[in-house]
Amino acid sequence: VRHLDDVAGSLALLWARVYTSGLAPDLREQRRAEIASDVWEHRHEAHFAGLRPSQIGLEIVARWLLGIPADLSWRRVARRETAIFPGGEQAMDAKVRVNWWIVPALVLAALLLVTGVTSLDPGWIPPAPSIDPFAVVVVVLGVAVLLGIALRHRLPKLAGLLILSGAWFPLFTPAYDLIITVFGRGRAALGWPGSIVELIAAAAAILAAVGAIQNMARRPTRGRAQPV
Amino acid sequence: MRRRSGVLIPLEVSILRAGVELRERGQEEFHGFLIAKEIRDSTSARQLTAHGTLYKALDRMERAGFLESRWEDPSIAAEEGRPRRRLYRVTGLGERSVLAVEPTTALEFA
Repeated sequence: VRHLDDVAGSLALLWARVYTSGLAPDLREQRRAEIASDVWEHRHEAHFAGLRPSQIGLEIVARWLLGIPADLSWRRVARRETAIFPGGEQAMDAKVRVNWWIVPALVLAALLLVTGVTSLDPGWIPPAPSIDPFAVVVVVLGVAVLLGIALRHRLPKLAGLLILSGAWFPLFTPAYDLIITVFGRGRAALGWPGSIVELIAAAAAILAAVGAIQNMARRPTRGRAQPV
Repeated sequence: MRRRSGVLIPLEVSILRAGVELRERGQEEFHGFLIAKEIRDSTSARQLTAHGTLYKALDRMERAGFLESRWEDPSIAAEEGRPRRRLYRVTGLGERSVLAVEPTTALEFA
């Protein structure tokens, strides 16, 4: 069985392979090697400090997700400066540009489903309902995000709405905090984020929402999206 | 938000400060994760700097001449059973620049 920190490290390395694809070989290999080294050092250090694999995994996922906008921005500059690989790499570049948001959307769906499913049984005493209706809503939102990902090419507008329906949920607490801060007493009252999971969920929700809105502007296609 | 070119952002100032402090403690070179840890510890931040944010900043600072880097000898990494590290060091320009800047201000550079 793979520990969560191992899975998280693999995801970060997979993402590094995606956003460096099509770049000049030196640049590509150096960035991938640097991320591999970072993830290894992070895991090694955290294990030594006695952190649980799940804690280490969440830290790595947070660092990966929160860095995605900077990765994409770095890639754009790197592509401009080393634009010597026309053809296939341009197609890869377009694929990354079109599909970059799917990974955060999958993370969002996974978090919604795990949160919802693990909260279904509220432990209420009969005659109270044996299933928490709030947890059912969270599961439905997770399924909606997955459905949105699946429909992103054929029905981009509906897909966008489905993903946005799930993305608002992790952003509700930070938005509430922001309103309290702006219109309240001038400081954050609730201390968001309460946990690293909330931070990851909010980052995934923002990235998924941005990607879904971007995708809504595309024309429906039967197969894979045609790069602009 | 598009940043102005020629301006060091707070993260870049933190990287230079941490690099200089490491040097004062006898560690001439540092790798990416080490500097992320130093920044977290020195600022009491809860999270380590994100991968993309950190390595984009290191790349930009090396291009601007504030840092230099080299890949360590593969035999050292193999001996310790880990991936090779990219080792950075603060240049003279980087050190002068960070000593001249206040902790909370951005720094203009050529």
